[in-house]
Amino acid sequence: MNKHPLPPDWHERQKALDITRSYIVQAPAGSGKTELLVQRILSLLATAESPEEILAITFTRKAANEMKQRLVQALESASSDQPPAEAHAADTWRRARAVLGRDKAASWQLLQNPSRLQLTTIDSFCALLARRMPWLSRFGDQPRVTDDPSDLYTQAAENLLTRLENGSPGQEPIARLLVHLDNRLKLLRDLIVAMLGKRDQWLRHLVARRKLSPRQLLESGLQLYVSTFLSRLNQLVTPDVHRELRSLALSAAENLADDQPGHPLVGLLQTNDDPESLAQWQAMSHLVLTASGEVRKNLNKNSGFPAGKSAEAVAMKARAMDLLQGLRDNPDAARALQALRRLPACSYAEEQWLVLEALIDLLPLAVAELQEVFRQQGQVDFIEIAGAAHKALGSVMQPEELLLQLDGRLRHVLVDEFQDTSYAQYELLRCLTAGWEPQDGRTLFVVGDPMQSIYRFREAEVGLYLRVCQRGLDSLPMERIVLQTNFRSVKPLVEWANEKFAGLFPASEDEVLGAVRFSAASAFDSSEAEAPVSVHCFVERQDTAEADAVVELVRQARKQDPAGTLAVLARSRNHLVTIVDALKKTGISYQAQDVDPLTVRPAVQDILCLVRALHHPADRVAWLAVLRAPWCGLTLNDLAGLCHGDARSTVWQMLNRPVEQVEMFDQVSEDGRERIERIQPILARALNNRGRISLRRLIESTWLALGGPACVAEADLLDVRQVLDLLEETGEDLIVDDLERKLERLFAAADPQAGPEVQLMTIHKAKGLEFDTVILPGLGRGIRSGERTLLRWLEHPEYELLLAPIPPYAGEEQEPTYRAIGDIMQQRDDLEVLRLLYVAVTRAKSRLHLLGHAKPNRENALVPLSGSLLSVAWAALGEDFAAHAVINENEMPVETMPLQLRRLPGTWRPPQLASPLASAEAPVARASLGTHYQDEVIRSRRTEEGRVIGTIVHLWLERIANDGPGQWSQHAVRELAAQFMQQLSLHGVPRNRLQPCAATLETCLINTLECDRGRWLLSGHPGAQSEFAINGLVDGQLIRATIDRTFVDEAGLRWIVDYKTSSPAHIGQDQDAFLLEEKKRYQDQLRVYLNLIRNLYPEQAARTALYFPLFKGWVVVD
Amino acid sequence: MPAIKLMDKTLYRAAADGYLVLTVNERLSRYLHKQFDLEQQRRGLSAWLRPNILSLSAWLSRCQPNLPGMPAFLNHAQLQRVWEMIIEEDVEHTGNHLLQTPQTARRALQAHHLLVSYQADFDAQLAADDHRAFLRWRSAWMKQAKRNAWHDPAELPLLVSSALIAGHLRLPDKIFLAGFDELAPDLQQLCNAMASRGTALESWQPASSPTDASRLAADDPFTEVSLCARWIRQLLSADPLASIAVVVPQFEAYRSLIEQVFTAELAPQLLAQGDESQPVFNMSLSQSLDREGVVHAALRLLRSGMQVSHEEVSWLLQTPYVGNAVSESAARAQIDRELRRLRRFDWRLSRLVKVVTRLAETYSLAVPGGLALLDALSKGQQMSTRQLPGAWAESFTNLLRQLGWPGERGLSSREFQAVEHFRSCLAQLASLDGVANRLGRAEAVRILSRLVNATEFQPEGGDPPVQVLGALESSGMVFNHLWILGLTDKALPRAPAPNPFIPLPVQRRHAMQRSSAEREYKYAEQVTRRLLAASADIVVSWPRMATGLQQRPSPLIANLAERQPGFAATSAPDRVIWAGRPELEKMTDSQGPALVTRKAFSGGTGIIKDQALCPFRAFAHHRLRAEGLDVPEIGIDNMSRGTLAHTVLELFWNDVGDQAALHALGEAALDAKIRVAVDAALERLEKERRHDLPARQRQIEADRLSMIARQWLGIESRRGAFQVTVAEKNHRVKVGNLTIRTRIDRIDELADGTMAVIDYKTGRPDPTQWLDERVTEPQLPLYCLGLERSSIGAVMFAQVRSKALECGFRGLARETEAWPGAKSRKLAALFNEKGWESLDDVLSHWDKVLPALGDDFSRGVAAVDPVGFELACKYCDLTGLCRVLERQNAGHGGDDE
Ligand code: SF4
Repeated sequence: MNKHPLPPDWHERQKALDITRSYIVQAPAGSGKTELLVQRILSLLATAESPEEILAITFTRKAANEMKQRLVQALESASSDQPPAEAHAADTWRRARAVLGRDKAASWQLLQNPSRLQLTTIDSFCALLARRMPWLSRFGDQPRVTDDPSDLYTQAAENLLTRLENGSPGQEPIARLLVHLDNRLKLLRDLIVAMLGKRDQWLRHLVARRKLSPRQLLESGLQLYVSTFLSRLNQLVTPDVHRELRSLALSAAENLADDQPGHPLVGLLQTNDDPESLAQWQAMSHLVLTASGEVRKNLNKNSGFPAGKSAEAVAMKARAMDLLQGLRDNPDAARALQALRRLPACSYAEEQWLVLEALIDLLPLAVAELQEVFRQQGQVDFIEIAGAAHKALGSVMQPEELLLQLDGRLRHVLVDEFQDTSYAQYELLRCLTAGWEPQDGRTLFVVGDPMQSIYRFREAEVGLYLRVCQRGLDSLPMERIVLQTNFRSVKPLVEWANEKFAGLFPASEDEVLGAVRFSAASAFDSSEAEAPVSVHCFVERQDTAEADAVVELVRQARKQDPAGTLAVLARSRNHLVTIVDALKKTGISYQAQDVDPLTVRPAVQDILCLVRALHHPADRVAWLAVLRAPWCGLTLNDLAGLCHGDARSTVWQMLNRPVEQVEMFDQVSEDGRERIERIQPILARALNNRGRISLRRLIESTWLALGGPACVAEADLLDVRQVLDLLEETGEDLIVDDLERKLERLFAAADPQAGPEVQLMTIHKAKGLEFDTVILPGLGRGIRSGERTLLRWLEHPEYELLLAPIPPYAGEEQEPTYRAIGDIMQQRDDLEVLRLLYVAVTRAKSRLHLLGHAKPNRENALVPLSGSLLSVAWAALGEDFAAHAVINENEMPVETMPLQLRRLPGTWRPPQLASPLASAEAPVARASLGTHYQDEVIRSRRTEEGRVIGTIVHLWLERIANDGPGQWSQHAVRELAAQFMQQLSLHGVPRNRLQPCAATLETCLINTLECDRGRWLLSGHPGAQSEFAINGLVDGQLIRATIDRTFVDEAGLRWIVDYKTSSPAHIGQDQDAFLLEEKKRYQDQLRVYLNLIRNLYPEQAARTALYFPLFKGWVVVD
Repeated sequence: MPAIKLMDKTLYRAAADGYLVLTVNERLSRYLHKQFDLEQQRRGLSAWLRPNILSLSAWLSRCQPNLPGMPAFLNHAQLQRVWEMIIEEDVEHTGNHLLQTPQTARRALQAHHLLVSYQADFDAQLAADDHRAFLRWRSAWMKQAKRNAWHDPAELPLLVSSALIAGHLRLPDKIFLAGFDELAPDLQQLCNAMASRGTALESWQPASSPTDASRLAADDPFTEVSLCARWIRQLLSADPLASIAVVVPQFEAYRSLIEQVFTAELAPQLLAQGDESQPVFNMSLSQSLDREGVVHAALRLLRSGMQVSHEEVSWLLQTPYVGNAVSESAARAQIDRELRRLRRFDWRLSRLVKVVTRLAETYSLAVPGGLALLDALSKGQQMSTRQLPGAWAESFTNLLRQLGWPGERGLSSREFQAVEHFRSCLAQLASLDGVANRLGRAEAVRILSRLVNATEFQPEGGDPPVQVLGALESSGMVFNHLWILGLTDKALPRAPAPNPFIPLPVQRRHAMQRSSAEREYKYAEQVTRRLLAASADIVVSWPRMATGLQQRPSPLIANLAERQPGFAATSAPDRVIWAGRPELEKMTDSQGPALVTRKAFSGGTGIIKDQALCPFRAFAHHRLRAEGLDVPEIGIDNMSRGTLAHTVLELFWNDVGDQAALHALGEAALDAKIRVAVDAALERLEKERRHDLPARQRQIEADRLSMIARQWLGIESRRGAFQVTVAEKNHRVKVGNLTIRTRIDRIDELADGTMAVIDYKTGRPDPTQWLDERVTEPQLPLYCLGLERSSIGAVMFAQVRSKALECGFRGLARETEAWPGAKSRKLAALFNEKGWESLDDVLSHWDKVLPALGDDFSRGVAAVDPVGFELACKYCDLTGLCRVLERQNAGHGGDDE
């Protein structure tokens, strides 16, 4: 036998590498599809013009990253000349080698520049498109993308609802909906928020509908739906049976008419509807089906068959019994009759229509509000990005134009996980490949496994996979390739799964329901053994017992195969909580990502209380909590003593009560007082620091100072860091309740010390992963199922669109259309649950353990909870489970031990922290930094203008000095008016103040030119300098000074002059007094200048002076 | 002595001789100035001329006024505004709305600058729609610029070049260009022009030192940054004078991490003291001014509208940045607590002023400053004229002044500087007078916010030994030690990011920055080469995992050897405090002080209910008076809706009296009476809540209440005869040592002379709680305690709900048949289980349990002992205080079915 046998589907795999054709590949679990994708990309690269011609779309960033790593690795190993021995690897090596050749020829430098490989998620690709097409995408510049848009939705919904009171469009629809929903504004808001998160699905319908006459259109869809169903029913129920059913029903109705006029059958008599109408059918169904929809076992007076002895009655009853038997033999027909009752109505009731109409009006307005919020916040969600990308692509008329915006001409698109494509993504793909045809050098290659489509909650539509399979993508037919080989699991496990799941998956495909057929896998492995699957069934839910069983299985597995990997996979995070608790007790280390919620950690709660307390002085619960937390640890006695019946004051006030109020201190113990005294100054500092340092720092520093870290376990330090990071994200505009909501989405970090041997996660997270042993607990548990939405909608290839509005809040009955759509959703969900189980099971390489509970029904048969994983597989697994059932051992009641608290010892003081590493360099100070403005934080306009004028005057005086005052005339200054205004305006002088300010400026300059002193100052003396820049040391401080004017006069005296544009006129002061004051004010500054100049020119005598151009003032300062 | 302390010789000479040194950026010029000053000091000088070192762009601006014809240049804010207006107009014209005009303008302006700088242009024929839009805007700009004789500062290099060639402007005979990796075409042209004037140009880069660079892989960015910080600590403790730089190509991704970790490791003490006045490291890329608390507050004050949400009200009353905020802090907080109790989701400012005044009186809280604040804000809002930006700048200044911004605490130096920057933003706003027209208030605030956002802020002062720099900022500098962080293959080379408004082929042709992968790779090589020469001791690191993804090292550092440098032990305060933790004291603290017998303690039934649900809860709520803050919800809250329904029925029965009278009412009369009751109930609520319900909601609520009342009275009219005797009577009972005030909604006298004790509920009350071991629903039972047993004929919840099927009486009666459906199957089953037969058994149960609960409360029993998670803890506001979560399995993770 060959050491490296080829997989049985080897030919299919080779075919998939034909790069001239487009394929849709069905790749089941463990079939090595990533390798296949890598090989195809390599093959494409080897002949590409540029690497940007190829676009590979993955489902997650992680997958994109991984694929990139694989590609780069392949290219790297291809630089070695020795092909690997294994055939498969050698194939990859050969292809990579070809790419390297191409890389060299075209100097792509792929290995240096791996970002040229376009491997990306659809979201990132959309973002790229929107970024590159700012106008067409209508974004302008790319906004930030948030992955938690709920705040934005809420804001938009609340903005929308304000229309109720202010009379803008939307008022009446809102009012109508409010009446409909029991005047629950909050409920309405939340429902709108939920709708906004799915607007990619309904918006196009509503916008399209608004223009046409929507009611007719929508109702015709409903009618078509019903009539299609009825015609199918007519095929299932032969005309003979129909006739018989009708005749019996009519006579039963007559029997009932007197006693039970309200019986549904009686309705048959009163109408002259078409006998094949829906109402007639529904009424007739009551003859053979019970109220709960089961085929009747017997007939009596209440079903229209009085216990008469007459031959007629007996015969009729016999006929009816035959009919019933016939139905039992024809379960399809029975099912169809049952389904009848849950069909939508053919038209909307008046009230219902009004509500639907209100929604059709209102929801687009909600989207408009959302866009306004996006605009204001500069943030959008992924839906908006995808929409923008689609819009941009869709409006490109000439594909050539794309070349001007994208890095290369797109020729090949590959899509991974195609079974989880959403409608929006599908549309985008259509846009990208518009006009592609077979054999034109462009190909599409999509890979997926419809049996593993599990992302319906993220809008994945497995129906799209089926559609592309059958019809291709627009003009591009897709050849189907089905892979079968499972390289992952041992043969007995593969065969077990084949056997169990074959009967569970539906027999026929259905695009609307997302029903996919089972396709059997064949194991690459050839070992023979018992199916390595164990089953543990509990009667009634016993979380603790089940968790213990899981722990036991983990322990066994660790013993048997210490190097093997093991995963506990659950449907929802909730289902792992008890198991985590149980595992913690055993000391087995494990990795659990996103399982352990942070909010229930006391350390986290304490931080939260600290945030609340510092955020609101009157939040008494939070303040008391801060005092009771382990870092302070006041007892109830001390807390009561402190509060002392005072219901109003803030706790902070109480902590700061003057000591004279002895009464209170009497009631607080010595120990308590010591504790208070330690933390009081810390809290005082924190309160004073509010706003000055970031919220994160505020909380972090306070927590550290209080000794928070000393009170927690090591792992909690990481948790706290997460909370602090969250605080940093929220920033200063914190809303505490939002914070808590956001916190709910955080989980304890995975244990960094734990290896990969034992992992806990949800099934969704495990997609694409494999483990030696897989344990599936909680198969009997359900999840909270879908809430009601404002609108239910269903897109259907035949009936187009079905829409139903939410039923009235106070309504009693289910509305048929709303319910009918809900039923279809439910069926889709059920099918998805089955696929989820399939994904879970196929994660296992060699062992699988199934655990779940079921409840005995009235007949004492075990039945799993409907909607649970177990329920969808009960047909195949029920027997096994029943055989292994463990009866309830009465869960131990939770003991109510008194709560143990921990706290720091009262005398504890924090350890000394290291002091900062100081720099020894001299600090640099600036002498010219005017200090006199500091007393006025918000300046008056006058001061502000004065400052601007000063700056500009300095500039011009420098210029005049440089040119020489002789070059300047008053006239020349007057000519500059426009320049002045322009400069003033640039510096923020408002338009209506330009004239007066320019006038002042002009006065300053003209004065200077006019006055002897001014001209003297500016003329070209020896050593004259304007804006003289000098540095030096004064009193040991480094000073960087700029001196307005300095020169040596005729007498050899050096002048140091500073210009000031202030004037006594402004403050109505006498000139001499003013000069005296200014002199005093600036003498320090001038002294510094003088010092510097003396240092620089030690032999020169120097004097300092101030010059005031505005009033030709001059004062010598010494 | 540190290895590098001397300034580069050539450059020192050049500077000392007064040659012009033009640097690639401000940072380098500051750095060279500093080095020069140090060198002069080292030489023993006490004063010296400041050298002529400045950034090229600063030099260009200085040339501005000396250009021939003195062209007028717009400042950046003006330029941006002009482009925004151009785009707005285009959007209007084409009808294509854009999500973000200002950002679009910024990006388009950037494209324009690229074209100017590269002296490139392109043809609309060879462009896509996006590019054509840009061309429209650009030509609009050109037209306007021409008309108004405006210039864009980006034109400076070319204008200066032309001026130079024409013989204008003075030039020294030698100019040094420092730190330029490359020159854009316009700068190249400028250099040529300088050269043509006979000026010698010398390009200067620091001399490279023999390098010892090593590579290090860390698990994740946090570890990576921690290692880096500990490496720095190690170096600084050996040589406090060492110059150390950390270069971070992915600056934004690492910024916050560096800030956290460096502070923790390098200044743990300061961190724990919340002291930020002495930074120990300097970040080259500063953050937006908007992040400064004092500025943020100013903007928020200006932004607040006439209608403010309760959250905004809370903020207004809490922010320290307004007048008297600190001295009135406690009183304002209490006012806010009371305001929240009114459960109003949002307020009109004018209304709010009145309500706060009233609350302040009621609770004798002195908040004159707070009132003045709200009043000023409300008046400031009323100004709705359109005016010029400059006038707005002034209005805003005045308003802030009136509000007492920036508050009564003195400003820290950082705050002071931030305020200065904010003022310059106001000046920029005013400078728009030169280009813009009148605008509305909201628009003006938005523009100001954008200006603030775009302003970078970094407090001055101090001269920390550690520099954290972006890849570009370190040009021209050398260090004793250098660490380069985060060099994954995504960081270098970066992915190209061409400007979307210029066709890619055009950008490629001109090799514009960021336009293609090839270009990025060249850039990366250049940067790496320069960085690896900037110190003799270099560590380059990369994280193996980041943002949940496996990383690879940048191909540019593939050849460096792996090596671990020396690290100091961690000094991070959380670690250090944790390591020094003491043994924690253990305690069980489930007992508070007993009530003082001398003083009567009285309270409502809530005490007993809390005591039953969880003793701690009773203690905390009623002894410590700990209550969470209310969180108002949008619309009419559930509690008010409940009260409304109660009141309607109470008022109705006050009027009508008994069933016979109800029967006697005709359809119209009944409706009229209901309407009267509904209106009165709404009025009463509005008075209590001190605000009117919004008109439309009120009307819908009135209709709803009428509907419910009619539905409910239908039920009442069908039951056995009764007479309503008491409605809402206050009543006291002794429960153990306690006196409890109980309120009962209604007592009916029944045909047999017994009483039915009735409580309206709009939720879904569960009478089985009466049978609980601790009677967790004790309101009706407490009332019954005070009654003669035999006189009690029925104890009932009247479940009044919108859904007809959910309406009805639920509870216990002596004559069960008279109350069909009242006793649920579950209740009956419980009866069986306990072997009870009649109402009397239940009454005995209450007689036994309730006084015990009362006694427990008086004794101060405060055990954390909830009856269950669902019933007690799920909606309890005390979770943080009671510490129930210290108990494992406190009830989470349960419900899913
Ligand atoms: S949260 Fe639970 S344990 Fe804590 S006080 Fe409230 S009811 Fe008691």
